[in-house]
Amino acid sequence: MSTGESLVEQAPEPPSKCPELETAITARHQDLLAGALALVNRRCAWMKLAARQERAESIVQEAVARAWERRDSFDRTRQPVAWLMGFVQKVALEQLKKTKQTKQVSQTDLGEEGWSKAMSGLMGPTVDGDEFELLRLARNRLTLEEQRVLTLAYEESLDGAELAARLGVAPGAARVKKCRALQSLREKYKELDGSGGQP
Amino acid sequence: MSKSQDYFISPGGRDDAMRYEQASLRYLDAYDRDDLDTMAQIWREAETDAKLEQVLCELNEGLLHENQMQSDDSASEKVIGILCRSLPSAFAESPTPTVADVAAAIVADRVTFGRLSAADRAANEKLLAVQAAVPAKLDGAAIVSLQRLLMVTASQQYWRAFQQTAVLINMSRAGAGRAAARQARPPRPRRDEKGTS
Repeated sequence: MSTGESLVEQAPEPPSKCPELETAITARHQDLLAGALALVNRRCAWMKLAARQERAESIVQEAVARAWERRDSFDRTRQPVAWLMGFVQKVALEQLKKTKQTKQVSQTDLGEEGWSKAMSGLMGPTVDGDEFELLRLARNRLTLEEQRVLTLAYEESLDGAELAARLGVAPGAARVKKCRALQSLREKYKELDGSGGQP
Repeated sequence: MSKSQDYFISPGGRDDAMRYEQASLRYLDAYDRDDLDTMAQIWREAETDAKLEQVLCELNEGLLHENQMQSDDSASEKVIGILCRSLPSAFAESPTPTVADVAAAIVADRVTFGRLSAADRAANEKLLAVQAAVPAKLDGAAIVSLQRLLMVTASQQYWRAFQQTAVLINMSRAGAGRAAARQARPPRPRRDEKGTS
């Protein structure tokens, strides 16, 4: 053995730590699971609930493992849960078979900007007279529950915990209810727009 | 639709609210059409937006709740379907009247309509266009809630007439349904004068 050779083996470098990701993985596990389960419910509706939950858990475990392997590429200025959810989406895309049936989503001719204007009409009459009138007619065609949600959200300006309390559901469920009411409003608006505004 | 004052106090707040509304709708639309790529794109946007991340997490929770409700409804429907096949007479359907149905019935009832003031008649005219279903249970609290939802100003006399008319419509439809479901029974054998059948 030459004198130049070191007799002490170099200790392997410790794996890099990423406390933000560690915290997100442990503290926000339920959020990751909820995201995975929502996707499994969408694509595996035929499965029993217990099986779907097991599938979702499997997706999250795989996603977390992949994310941890690439933790050195995580930008610590970014939101860790959102970054992890990217892996959840990717694993779900690989593992879940695409469903044949998809819900038809009606698109208005308004486009993104036009629909923004229409939505702003719910907050205040910033749209022009014809669009506002169509919105009013469309709203009359909603169910009472949908109208109630829109009244609470846009006229009483309730959001988050307040809206959830009035509706008697969790904040997430309240947010989905509001979106569903807007989707219904959009569909009715499209029907009226196509029919020349005839009620 | 009336103006929402709070949104005009803080223009920045209103723009943010609009942005998250749009993102929520985009996310839900993508979910409905099974577009995981768009959903992943929105999550990438959330990497630099803590509020958006919170919104998306809430939406996922809400979707689980919605799925649970649909599963419960589906299970209930299966049970009702089995019962319908076994006991058809118990499930004669009667369509739920709409607000427009009740308003039209008020117009058709000359006595009731004749007693309404001009303002109440105008209010009734507006309700002829409302296709929403009337709540099954139409007690006083439900009427108050309905008034707020419909945003139509009318007198207490009008709303009492509305409530009574809705109840009558429900009763007549339920009665028609039961009559249709009632199985024809064979006539009882007649007894002769000596009391033998």
